[in-house]
Amino acid sequence: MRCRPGQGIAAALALCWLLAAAAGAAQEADEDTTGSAAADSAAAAGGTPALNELQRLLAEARAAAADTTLAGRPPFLMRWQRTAKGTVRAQMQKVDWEAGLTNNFALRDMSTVGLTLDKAHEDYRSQEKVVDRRNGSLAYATDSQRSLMGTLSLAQNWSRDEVTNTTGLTNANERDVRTANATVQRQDLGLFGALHNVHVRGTFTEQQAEQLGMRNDISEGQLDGALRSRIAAGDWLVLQTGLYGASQSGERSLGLQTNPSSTSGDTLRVGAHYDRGAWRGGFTVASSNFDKRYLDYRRNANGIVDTIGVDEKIVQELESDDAVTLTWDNALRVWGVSFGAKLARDMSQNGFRASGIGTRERHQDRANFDLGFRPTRLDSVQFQYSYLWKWDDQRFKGATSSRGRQISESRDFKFNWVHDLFRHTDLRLAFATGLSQEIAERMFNQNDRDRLETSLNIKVDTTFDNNFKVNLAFDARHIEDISIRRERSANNSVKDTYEVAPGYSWPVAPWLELAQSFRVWIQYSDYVYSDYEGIDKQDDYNKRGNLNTRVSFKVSSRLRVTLRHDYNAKSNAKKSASDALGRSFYSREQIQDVSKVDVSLTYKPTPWLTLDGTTYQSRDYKETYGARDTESERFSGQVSVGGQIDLSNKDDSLTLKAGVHRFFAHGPSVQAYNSEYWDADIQVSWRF
Amino acid sequence: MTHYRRGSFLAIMILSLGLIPALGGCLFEPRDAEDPSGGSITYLDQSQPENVLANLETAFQNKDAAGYERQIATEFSYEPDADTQASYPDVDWSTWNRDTEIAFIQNFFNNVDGITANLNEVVIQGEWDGSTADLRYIYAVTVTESGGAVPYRASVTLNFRLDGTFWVLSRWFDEQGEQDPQSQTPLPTLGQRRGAFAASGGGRASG
Repeated sequence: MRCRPGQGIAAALALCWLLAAAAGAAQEADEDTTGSAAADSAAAAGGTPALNELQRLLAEARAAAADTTLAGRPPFLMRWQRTAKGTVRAQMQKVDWEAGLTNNFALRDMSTVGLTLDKAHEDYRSQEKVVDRRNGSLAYATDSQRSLMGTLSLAQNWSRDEVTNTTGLTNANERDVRTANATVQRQDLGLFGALHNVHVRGTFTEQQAEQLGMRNDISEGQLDGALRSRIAAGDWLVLQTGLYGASQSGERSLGLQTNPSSTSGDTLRVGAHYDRGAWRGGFTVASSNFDKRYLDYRRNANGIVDTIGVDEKIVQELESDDAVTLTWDNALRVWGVSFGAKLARDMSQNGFRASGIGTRERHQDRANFDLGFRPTRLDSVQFQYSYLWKWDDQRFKGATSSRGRQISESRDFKFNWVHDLFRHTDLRLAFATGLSQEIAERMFNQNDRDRLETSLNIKVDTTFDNNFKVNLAFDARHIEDISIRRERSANNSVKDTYEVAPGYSWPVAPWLELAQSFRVWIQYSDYVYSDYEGIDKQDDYNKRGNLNTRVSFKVSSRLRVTLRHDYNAKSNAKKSASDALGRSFYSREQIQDVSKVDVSLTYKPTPWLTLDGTTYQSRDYKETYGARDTESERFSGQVSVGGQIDLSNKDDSLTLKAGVHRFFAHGPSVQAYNSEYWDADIQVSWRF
Repeated sequence: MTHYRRGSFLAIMILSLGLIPALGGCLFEPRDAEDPSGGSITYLDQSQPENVLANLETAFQNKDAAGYERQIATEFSYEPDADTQASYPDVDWSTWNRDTEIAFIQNFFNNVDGITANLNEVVIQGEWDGSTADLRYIYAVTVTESGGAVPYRASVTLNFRLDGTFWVLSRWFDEQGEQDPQSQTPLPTLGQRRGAFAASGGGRASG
């Protein structure tokens, strides 16, 4: 019985598939490959990430140093750039401001120095909360293009968060963290026939913090290093190893106690990567472990602070962790068919000496396979299958045996097909089915459950030469929520959802645009045990329809007026009876329609000034049927007027952005604080 | 060549069409459930945000992870209070999404003995339009575990949005812990539980 809906969708898929395949086959000979719109839509949009200020400054310095037209030795200070920024915002939720000053220097040897100071303040309107922050940092880095690199940085971050709760009790969290950090890195060091990268880092952290009236101070130093090596074992095979070690030592204060803290850990990673002909991929094995000693609050088996009724509220904790990861990744491309496979296994064991958590063991296996190809010039298809199996088991502190595995298992199958149906017309079909299962070994809890979700989505998009766009979408979805244990299974349900959504966008004239979209949606809920005695469940349906219309007038190059109307209607009903033929009869419980009209106006008198105004009115009508029929009608609306300034000089080194809006609102949910309010912000940035 | 490709394509189509129902019938077959012995958990129609809130409360009280899942949005986020952030500074709260919340709630419901919840013990304020709603409450939740009761009380902002026909919870912002009305003891938010879950490895791939 349970397989039927999935098979129904599969049958629908089969029909669409065959029809479209036939259409594709008929067109194949006539289509020009250059006009093919069925290209793989998964191609990511490319783009170079923007360089940050320091990198840009360094690039300018390099260009200046390389300029042979300049006589003499370059100056010690090649570039110095200062940037001052300030922002003030007044919004409905909070008022805040922030200011910052950055000094960046590029020196003759292409090293850089950056000095940053920031200050910020937030005052919340809807709650009694004030937050202050101050940050400062000084960073030095040697030339990043050299094989031996070094950095040195000093930073201080201070913050105070003060909250007064509804009964007037004020609680403050204050944190002052100072860090010093130095790194040395040597890249591509050739030794014993292999290339090595060496990275060594030293960090010192001094934290003084107060939380809930208790000290939480840290004074620790850390030294860590990594050695990554690679050797080419042939034209197509590269062997890689990585060794990482870290050691941390110092002391921590929590409340009135101060104790030494320490951490030591290491990771070893070994891999082989191949790239031969159509095959590309690699194997990796990684093993890591750490031991941490620190002061902590006493915690229960769930890791929750549990200090009520115990004398020793703060304990010396020892946390240890061991983990192993195995992965195999492979990509094969042959005869235009790409096949990808990834297998991975993660295992870990984590233990606490003092916490009630005790020891916890985890295991995870993952497998992903995908197959993609273009069977014709008009089609591209992709199949994907993924499998996940994971569990965790825990032995609580003091327990003689483990509680049993909590297992999660899931399988997902996806199929995507893009077909160039006609000129400028794409058909996109996506089918997906997935089963996820939660299993509690030894009945540790009652939450054993399965969820099956199957969906079919079909979309057709057409763009005509005059930019007139039409789209049509169909979606069918089948969801089974099955709790296995008798204590939970009364709520088991099967939901079938159908949706049809056509729409268009029509640029009628250069000054007029019209767009409409329509959507009808229905969901049937079938409770598996609704006919059992004592189960208070009735099958039901929910329907919803939306019609959205937008008309945009471009009155002149400066003035644009947009009208919108959104109409939403919905109803829900419970199953009241069914006849011998299996037909179901429903009785309505509620109908509702919401209508909203929106007018907005934008006027741009100068290139740097925009004035705008928006207003909407909404009507919400609801009828409820039952022992007593009721009806309600609610009106709400809002008006906002304001403007924005966006000014900058020719090279954008000085910018000013500001906006101010006044809001007026009415309606049943409007309260004193949001019936009338200002929203304003100003932002200044000066780079010199 | 064209005929060969078309023929191959049709063969693969037919093969895949044969495979899909087979996959649906075998690999993707849910297990059979036991006949119910207990009464059903009654959830309200998610036709308004207040019903979603009531459903969350019902899910808490029945430790029903499936019922909780249905109430939260695909684009879900959680924002902790300042105390929780200070207690768990290593947790990356900005990446807390629906998957993390589901993993947390399953772990939470599976590992405690009982929960009593009143998510709108005090109504602070609420504002909504046709498709979004921001409601502020003080909630009170008591968790029974390890032989004791752990109380949580906090002011919270809950953001709801309309997803298709139904309202769902899109953001849970624990503003601050509140005092116990009787003893005046400051109580923590439920963020402490999320923090403990994440800090003990709940955010891990195999967690």
